[in-house]
Amino acid sequence: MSEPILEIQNISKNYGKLKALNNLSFSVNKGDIYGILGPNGSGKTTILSIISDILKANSGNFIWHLNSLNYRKNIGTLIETPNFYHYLTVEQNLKIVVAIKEVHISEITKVLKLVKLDNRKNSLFRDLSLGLKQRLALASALVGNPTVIVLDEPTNGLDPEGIAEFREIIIEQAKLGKTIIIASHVLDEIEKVCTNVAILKKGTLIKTGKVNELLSTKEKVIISSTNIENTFNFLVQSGITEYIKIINSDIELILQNDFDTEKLNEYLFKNNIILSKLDIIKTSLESQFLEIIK
Amino acid sequence: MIKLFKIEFQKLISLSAFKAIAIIHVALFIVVLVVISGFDVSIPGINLKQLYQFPEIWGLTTWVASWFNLLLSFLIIIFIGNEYTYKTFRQNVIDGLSRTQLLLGKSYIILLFGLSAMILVFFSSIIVGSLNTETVSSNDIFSKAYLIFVYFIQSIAYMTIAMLIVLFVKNIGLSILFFTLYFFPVELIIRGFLPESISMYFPIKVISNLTPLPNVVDTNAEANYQINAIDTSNIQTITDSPDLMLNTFAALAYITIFWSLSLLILKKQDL
Repeated sequence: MSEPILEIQNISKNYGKLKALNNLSFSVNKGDIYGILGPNGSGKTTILSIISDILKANSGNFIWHLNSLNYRKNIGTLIETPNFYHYLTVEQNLKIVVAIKEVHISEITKVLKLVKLDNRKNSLFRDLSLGLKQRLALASALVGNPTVIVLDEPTNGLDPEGIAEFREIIIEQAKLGKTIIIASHVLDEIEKVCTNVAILKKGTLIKTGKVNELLSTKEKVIISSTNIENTFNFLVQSGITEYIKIINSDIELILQNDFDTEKLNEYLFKNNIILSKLDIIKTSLESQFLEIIK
Repeated sequence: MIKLFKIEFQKLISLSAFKAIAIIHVALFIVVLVVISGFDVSIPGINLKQLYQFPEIWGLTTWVASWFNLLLSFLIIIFIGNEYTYKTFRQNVIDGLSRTQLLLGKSYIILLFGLSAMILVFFSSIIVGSLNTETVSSNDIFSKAYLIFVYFIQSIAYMTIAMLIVLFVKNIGLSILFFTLYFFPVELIIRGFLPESISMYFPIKVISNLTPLPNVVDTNAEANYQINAIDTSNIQTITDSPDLMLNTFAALAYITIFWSLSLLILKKQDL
């Protein structure tokens, strides 16, 4: 059984009258690439800020299971926009990070190369573009080879090439056995990188689970027959569907991995069920996500 | 401690406001001291020359230096306020500093400013005193040198108030405004409604009383001139200051209270 590295227990946070988080609980296991997905204002940044100690929860608590007295130094974090000293250079800013994390100064060269910012180490932070600032923030999060990496909308401001490079870095870090928590409203980002996901809406946890279970790109099939209820019951008992529902006079379903529509038709025919309708609907990830948060 | 100091010093040394205010502070202090020590007006019963000589020079330099505590306090407001403006306190916490360490780091910079100002006052006193004193024993030179330690406590106290305000307000402009308003009219007005026995313990009153106007009454001349013709009762001087020791302890108590409040605010607030 997987070991939890972070447990979030009944956390609530209010901004005045606005309830940003409502009794939120979930846990992240060691080695997970955990996505926190939700539309703007769903509480993604708030929960990451709370587990990073920069916001105080009104109630509830969280536990990091990290073997260190100063566990915070084992967590590399990037929250919202990159926040550095605008009058200092890239290198000077990282010197502060290195001093706080109490790691060797050679870490600076290492992380700057990793995020391809080594040629801008003498540039002032205020002179960098948003994309380059985001790279510096990622470099800062990677200083000291942390066990856990927490990233909030990490591809903000990055160009397509930067986004691809960022994904590569994340996947490389995951291969090293690190736990990565990413908050994003970009489904593509979560689907391509994450193994697990928590979906938030207005500060409440809507769903949590494996990405391939919650956000599959499988086709939806719409079928119809003379006796809709018999067909529905037969399919439920057969266990060949992942999802099945009667909608008006049709049945909407998603087939298991080893079944396609041709096999479905053949299977039903052999069992004396003749279909009067068989439509395939390609459901986009976006529409599934919208369905979930509706 | 060294780690925190190094981190804060790295932030400070490249801050242009620091360079500008530090230069203005040193330059203005020296110019004012030179101008004042060039004053040679003969007033019956007042021995101005005595002010530039040992040991009275310590009173003069600390009194002059106290005018510039406002600049040091503004610098602290800018230095800490920048952390909120650019959300860098967040980054420091994310990277592993605790909130107590954040405050300790800033407190070390306050100590650095206080010590630097004290050293400036010390050497200025030695130079001006040496230039104006013809014969003096080493006992006389340092008999009132304790005043620079009192000045040190005063500067730390003002900067601690400034720190508390900026941690509470989180905005440079508003903090400077609130600090200046409290420093000048607000406390003065509140004190005006209260009896002397209470108002004398208000923070600005206590702290400003640490470096009163030096005693300019010529004790030798007192006998020769009709000193009663000059009303010196309203001039608060070192010798007639209520109780320097009591004020020093009160100022130290205020520093402790303001520092503890700063810690409480920082620990409770969202960054």
